[in-house]
Amino acid sequence: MSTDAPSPVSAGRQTSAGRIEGGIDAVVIGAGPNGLAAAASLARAGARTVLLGATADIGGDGRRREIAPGVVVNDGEHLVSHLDATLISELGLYKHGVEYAARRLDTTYFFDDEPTITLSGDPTQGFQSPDVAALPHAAAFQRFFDEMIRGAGLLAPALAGPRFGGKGATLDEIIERADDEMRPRLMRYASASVDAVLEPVFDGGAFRDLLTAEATFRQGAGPHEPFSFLGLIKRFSGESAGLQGAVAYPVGGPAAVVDALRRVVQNARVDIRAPVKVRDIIIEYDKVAGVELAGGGQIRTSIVVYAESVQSLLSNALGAEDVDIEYQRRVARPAGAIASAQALIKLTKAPSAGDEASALANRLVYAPPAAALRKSFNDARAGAVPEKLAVEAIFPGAIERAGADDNDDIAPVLSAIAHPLPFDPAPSQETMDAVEKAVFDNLELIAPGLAKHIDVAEIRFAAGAGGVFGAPSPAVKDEKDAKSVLLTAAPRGPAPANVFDQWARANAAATASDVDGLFFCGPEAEIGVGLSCTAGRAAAAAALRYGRKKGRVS
Amino acid sequence: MIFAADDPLRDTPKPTALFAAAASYCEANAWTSVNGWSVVRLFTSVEEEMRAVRSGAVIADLGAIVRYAVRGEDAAEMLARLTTAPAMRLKAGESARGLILTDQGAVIDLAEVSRLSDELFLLTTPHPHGRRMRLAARGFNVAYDDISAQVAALGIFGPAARETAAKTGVDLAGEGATASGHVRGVETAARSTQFGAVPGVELVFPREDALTVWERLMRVEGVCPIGLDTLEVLRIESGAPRTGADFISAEHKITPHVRTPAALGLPHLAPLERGWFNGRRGLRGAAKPTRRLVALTLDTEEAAPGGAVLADARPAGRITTCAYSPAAKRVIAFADVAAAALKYPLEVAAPPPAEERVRAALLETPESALARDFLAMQKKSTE
Repeated sequence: MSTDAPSPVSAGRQTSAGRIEGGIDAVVIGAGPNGLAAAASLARAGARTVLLGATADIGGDGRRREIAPGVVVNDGEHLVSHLDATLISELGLYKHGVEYAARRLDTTYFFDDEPTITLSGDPTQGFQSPDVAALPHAAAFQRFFDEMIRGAGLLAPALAGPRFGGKGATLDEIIERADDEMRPRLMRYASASVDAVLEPVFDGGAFRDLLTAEATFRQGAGPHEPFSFLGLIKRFSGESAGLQGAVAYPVGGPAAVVDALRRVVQNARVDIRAPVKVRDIIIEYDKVAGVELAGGGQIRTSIVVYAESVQSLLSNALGAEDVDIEYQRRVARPAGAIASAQALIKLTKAPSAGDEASALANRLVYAPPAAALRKSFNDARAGAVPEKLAVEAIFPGAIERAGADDNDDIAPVLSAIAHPLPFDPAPSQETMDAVEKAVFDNLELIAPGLAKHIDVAEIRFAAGAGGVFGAPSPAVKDEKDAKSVLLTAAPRGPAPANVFDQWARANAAATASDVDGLFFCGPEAEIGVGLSCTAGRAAAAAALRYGRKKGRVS
Repeated sequence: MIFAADDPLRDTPKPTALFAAAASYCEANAWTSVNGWSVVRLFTSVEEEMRAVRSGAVIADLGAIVRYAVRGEDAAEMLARLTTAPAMRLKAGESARGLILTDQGAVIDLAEVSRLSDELFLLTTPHPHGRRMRLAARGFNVAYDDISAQVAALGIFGPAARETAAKTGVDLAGEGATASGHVRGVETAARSTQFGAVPGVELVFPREDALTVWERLMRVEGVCPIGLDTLEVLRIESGAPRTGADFISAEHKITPHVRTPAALGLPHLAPLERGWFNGRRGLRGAAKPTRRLVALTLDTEEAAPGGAVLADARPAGRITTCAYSPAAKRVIAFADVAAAALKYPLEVAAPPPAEERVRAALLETPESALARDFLAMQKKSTE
């Protein structure tokens, strides 16, 4: 895997206290992936754009992490999912260094008592092994899967990202427009629980377990809770739409996409300024008039794209005195109770899977029995660490070297995400021990004997399942086995309730309280998990439409 | 201040602070429930009570109306966000009326804001809005309390209202003024109000002193109590709509129509030039109302809510509230009517058994006069 450090970004010029800058078409606040996507889109369309980052780390905090001397891994997201196809083509990300090691990752599912099943990343390909077709429920699964993929394809436009300025269809509009056969099915997909949809089709078995695990992975709703099935629709909406980056691995990992975005931003001559703190977004006559910086200077502009959290928008940049009460209510949600854990592991030797060597380059998922997963959600919600966790693991080195003749050069690194766990921003040592045990126990079901080959492992949890996994501090060293495990608590937000909740919240957040000239594309404007950048690209498009309509952008 | 619509389905309403006093004078023994409080509908008869209103001063128990004390350095900002009243511009001792709107500009409720001191405000609303207050207060340095159950409130209405208040120890400078004083040693906040053409004073004082203040006022010559039915006549005459009866609060969202201030005939209570308030952006982009709430006089002595309003002999709306006005000697009413129908002569279908049609005409009220002047001023400034 690539360990090249990204090229440094100039801190740019600063706006001094008392100075008022003009001649700027748009200001993008927040230099995460969505902020970069928005700034690049605006600048490439000809808008004079300033990008303000809160820290000097343009592209988001800590996207790579050195877990052992010389071993640098992607931190947070380890795959890209639903990477915005329009953004790739509009910004020419391939020319700026994005190269897929795997465009559509096949997934191998592991179970407690059933043989593994590998599903192709291309849903039209079906099962990869004839043995699988002979399994109980295989025919029913294929029929159900084809129907579900068809439904996901119809609902995909609404789940890709929020609507800006009324562009695009909502879930209810898509359902309303569907034909008589699809309408009730789509309604069920959008509102029912996983159990309610799967129960009539499967009375158990591996296929039901894998669908249940996929639907609820990194979601706050268990399989028995309403709206949880929409998680499965979102999971496969990229594949159903033929999206190449539906679940993909770029060379260098997801951080390589951010690096490419950063290069586009630099090439597009975006004026990057970081670290810069924003004190206020200036509103005059209900319209954006500029940005006031903490240093006292002002940048006058009629377009602001806000790519930081909605909480910071409400509490700092905009202030309650300019925000509609309903907007505040729609975007502010009570903290959830479910979170995920991430394990970054350096092994003592390169992985080898013998006859199943090709499976190493797949996305590997352990799917617990559906009933056990239901109990796990209940346990996690009650604050206990569950015994059974769904786990998604990849060997990044194996994916990058897929197709090579030997395994000798594969980097001995495993990255895994386990779910569901209780959201506990200040966990006790006892909880952390329980998390460690649960993560390793469940990982063993994917990679038997893994524990014997761990050189260094870092497990972090209490992080938001809807976004990155949080900052790596404060670190807590496990004294029992100093060699192998470093456990840290990452106090970020918990998982969103479900995809439906995310969809509603994203669409509400994107309205930015109807302040003319303000476009929101922070984490709350994302639907689903993973790196997609759809919100940033769509916010920039809406900002350009607004600017052109008002004659402020040529 | 306008009462919320009665809620007869709510069982066991609580007694207001003035319940015992009001009950001892309530010859008609006619009661209703508002916001869960027992309220007198009639003490004697509407005719008798209206005569008293026109001739001197009357008192009414306003304990069913909701009151919030809002304190803190951001109290004015928070109220300027929550309501359309110009809370930021109020000086201590001043009051202003406004509306509570959704972000779409739909009316949730009426509101009155009084500034009692630099950092203390009194917000009065027909309905409770605890949840909305909590939402609106996020991000502001304020504390608020629903003081409705801790205070007693009493209205003095009639041409001699201010003199009556002054005789009991509360002196008010003029319309919109707020003052504090003592009635028989009881600390009392007073606010000048206007119920249509009828001037009034609203007194708010500690609940435990309710009977003391009531008795003090009743000793003033000519003062008698009035009930909700008489206040209803005064309300319709004044042109103030009643939440839950003349329009459904936008918070309930059971009607597809967005009732903007203009649709309720209250555009002057939400002027866009007033500075930012919740719903201003929605109002700016709001379409012209397709339905209007209008005050009517009907050529009849009997009508009922729900009665059909006809324009050019075709159904155009319905009566929302109505009352017989002894002064006009006919029924006055609020009606929800299609805006396009207002250019035609209006009629109202009388209730059975008569079922005849009677002429209806738009009623000029103090509120509609304010709205007309406001719109004329707006048009002039646009030109």
